[in-house]
Amino acid sequence: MRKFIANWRELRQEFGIRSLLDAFLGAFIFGLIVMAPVYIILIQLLIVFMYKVNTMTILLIVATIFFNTLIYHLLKQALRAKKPEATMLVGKVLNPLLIADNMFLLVAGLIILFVFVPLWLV
Amino acid sequence: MNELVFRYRHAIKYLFIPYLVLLFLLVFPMEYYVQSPGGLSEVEKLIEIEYNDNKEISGTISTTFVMGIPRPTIFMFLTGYFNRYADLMVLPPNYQTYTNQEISQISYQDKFISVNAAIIVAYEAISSIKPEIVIDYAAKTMVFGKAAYLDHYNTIAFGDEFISFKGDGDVVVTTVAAIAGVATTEGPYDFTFKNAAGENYTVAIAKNAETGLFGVTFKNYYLVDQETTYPRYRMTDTNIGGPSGGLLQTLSIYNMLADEDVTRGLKIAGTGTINYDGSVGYIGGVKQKIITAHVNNVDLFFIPYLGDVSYDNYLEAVNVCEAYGIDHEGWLIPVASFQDVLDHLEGLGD
Repeated sequence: MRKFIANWRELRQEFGIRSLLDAFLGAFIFGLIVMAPVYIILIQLLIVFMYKVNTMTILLIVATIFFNTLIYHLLKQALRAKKPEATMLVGKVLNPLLIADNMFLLVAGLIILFVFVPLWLV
Repeated sequence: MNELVFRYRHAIKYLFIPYLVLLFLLVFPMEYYVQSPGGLSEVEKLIEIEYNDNKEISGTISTTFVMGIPRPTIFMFLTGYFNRYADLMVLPPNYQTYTNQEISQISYQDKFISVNAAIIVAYEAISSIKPEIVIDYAAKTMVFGKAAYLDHYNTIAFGDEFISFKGDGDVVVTTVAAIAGVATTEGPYDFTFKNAAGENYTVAIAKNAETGLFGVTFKNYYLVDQETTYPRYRMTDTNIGGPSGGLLQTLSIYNMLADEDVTRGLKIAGTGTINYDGSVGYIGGVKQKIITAHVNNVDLFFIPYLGDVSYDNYLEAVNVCEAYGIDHEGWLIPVASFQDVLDHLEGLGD
């Protein structure tokens, strides 16, 4: 954890908070443009294939994890493009965050699948 | 942000038009209605009764719902077209003037009426065995349909209760049946309703010159008086509308009140509306309901069979089972009344 915080400080010094926020915003918007139709398709499939609600929910969880991974991928690309001469490996900070985020999304997805979906079907 | 735009400039340029086409397919609505299989909804999660708290119910009783999709997008329409369990049809004429939200509201009103009917039938059935069980209810009339030309369309909501009508010579009537006798001119006449918040309001409605009608449709039903009914019950909010769960709701409520467990450990599902005399009524979407029950591995499926020679839900269900290779022997149970359901379960023994 201490090493991660040190890496994070290094990343902030290297790029500056403004560049980091700009790169994140760009990555989020680009990711959303890609994923919006995917989500609409999956939700419409869920409505037509409601009798396979569990399968469709799993697909939505996978899509959300993919969305998160895509944001991190685009964030890395944006940061590298902003400062090609940067000496720091951005993956050292972003990869642990990506894994933590995806674990959180997986747990949240499973709670939705096993708790909220059965409650919703009343 | 600009770095990403620059990096993906070619993709943006070439995929922009296909992207817009895809979005069009995903949002443009069609004047059709798609019906596809849905799922099972356990009645115990919908209605809770403060009675027999220690009773253990070994099986489950579920209603079967199907997905009715009014005005699907082109993508949903195509998906339904290639789904062998789905049916596509032109949007029914009575739905064409309504928004999708209004269609849902009508469906929820249907559900509300059916739950009240189920409670009445189940409580009355068990009260002959258990005299401490008391059911009290009153006749009501609700707004169930609105024509596009109805005056005060947005003020009058689906489900609002009809209170009174002031007709010719200021004669006030309190039943819908009496309106025709005291409304001989085009109006306008004063209608008084009670809204969902319990407030009365009066609106002046004139008859439409073309049709000669006010443009509001009413439905009579019985509303359970929760204050004087014993035992008390609580209904949770539902996401599933329609009246076709009536029969299975009645069975589940009956089972919550009875001392014995009628489920006998079985996963019971079915369909059919319930009438106040305990008889069962026809439903739609038989194919989708049979498929839903089959994929959910239910042990017994009750379906209306009223002995009609031209059409019957049961006969249609048998045809569906044969078409999709489902063995219906001992699984698909035809019933004409709630008593038939009880008799069948009784006949299963232990």
